[in-house]
Amino acid sequence: MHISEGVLSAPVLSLGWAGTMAGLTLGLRKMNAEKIPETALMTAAFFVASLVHVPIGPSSSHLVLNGLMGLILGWVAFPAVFTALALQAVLFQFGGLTTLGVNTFNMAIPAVAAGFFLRWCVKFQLGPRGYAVIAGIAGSFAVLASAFMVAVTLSLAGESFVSVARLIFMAHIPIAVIEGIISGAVVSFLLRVKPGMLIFQ
Amino acid sequence: MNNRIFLLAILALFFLVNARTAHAHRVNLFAWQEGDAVNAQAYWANGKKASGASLQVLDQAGAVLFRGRTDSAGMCIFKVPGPGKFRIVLNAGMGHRAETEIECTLPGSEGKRDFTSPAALSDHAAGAVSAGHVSAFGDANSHETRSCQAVMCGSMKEMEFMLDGKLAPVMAQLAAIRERQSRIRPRDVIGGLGYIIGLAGLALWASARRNSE
Repeated sequence: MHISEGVLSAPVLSLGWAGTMAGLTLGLRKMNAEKIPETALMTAAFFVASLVHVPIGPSSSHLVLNGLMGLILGWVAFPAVFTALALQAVLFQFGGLTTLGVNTFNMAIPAVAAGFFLRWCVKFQLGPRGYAVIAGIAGSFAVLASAFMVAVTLSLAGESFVSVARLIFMAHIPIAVIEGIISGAVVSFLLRVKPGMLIFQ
Repeated sequence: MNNRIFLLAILALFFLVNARTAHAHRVNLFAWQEGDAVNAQAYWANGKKASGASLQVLDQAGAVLFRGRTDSAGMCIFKVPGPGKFRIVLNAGMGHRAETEIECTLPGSEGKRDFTSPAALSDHAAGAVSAGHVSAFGDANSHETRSCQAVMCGSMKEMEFMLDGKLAPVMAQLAAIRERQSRIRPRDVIGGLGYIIGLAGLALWASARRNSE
């Protein structure tokens, strides 16, 4: 999911940066003192998650955890994803600094959407189990949505959309399942232990 | 209570990282010259060979000189395009791309576009032999020097050919060492987590200052 340097054209890169800058401004405005420790925690989780590989056939993909990030952080997912990706680019050479804008946007927008989805579901007065299921769906959805956005981005760079999308989707379906389970488990745990950490509180 | 759980979660992630189940996605490209061929090998950051990736060789002006794909060993071998610097660009799909530069020299000291290959060698040997044959019939002196030059030149080429053969495993080993060095090390991971903690501390400090003012 990390797009490397030199793949995308300048307009796509600057579009990504513009979107990320807008998200960062919004996210930083929403980040208050209570939110800082959990932001750092989620940043650390996201930073490390990309090292956890799931083998799929001859290839493998890594965890993303952007859905869970959005469920806990909402718009603050933007600064968190940005920080984690910047560190991954510098320390691991994943992606790159010029593509940081696009990569952040592609991973953070589905995260924010997952958060809004969970908040929207509050009006249904679900029980803890219901929330866990919703969180699981949102967690899976965020990974696949990011995969879709990456496929669209790469198709702008001249790769055929259908073949790229199929490749990325195939690689991320198992990831989506795993992250759905993780998101559901974490949310049901937080509901019991610290409901204030979730976005809808 | 909660803090302890978070600490445990982070520790669990650490163990995942150190259990060597953890690898990362980034593609690395290494290239070295062997005789008249350039070997380019592509690895994922976990050391797995990146097969089926498309490869392009570009000259300084950016013109594409060669297109190919890596085989199941992540290897793509192509002929030296000429003397000078070349850029090798690898695209492993899904936005994974790597680039490296290689400075090629032409084998043979004559500076001609003459590749040292078994075929070229045998050509030279044949040339030397025929020169020798001619010397038996014609003007002895001049032909002798010519055939001597041919033999010298032939042995130089032979030596280079032999050296390339001897050095091939060393070059491959060097590439393997570079590959291992470019893998992700635990200290990079720990360093990154340290940065995150530091940034959180900075943010908390800033917000505390804002509150006190």
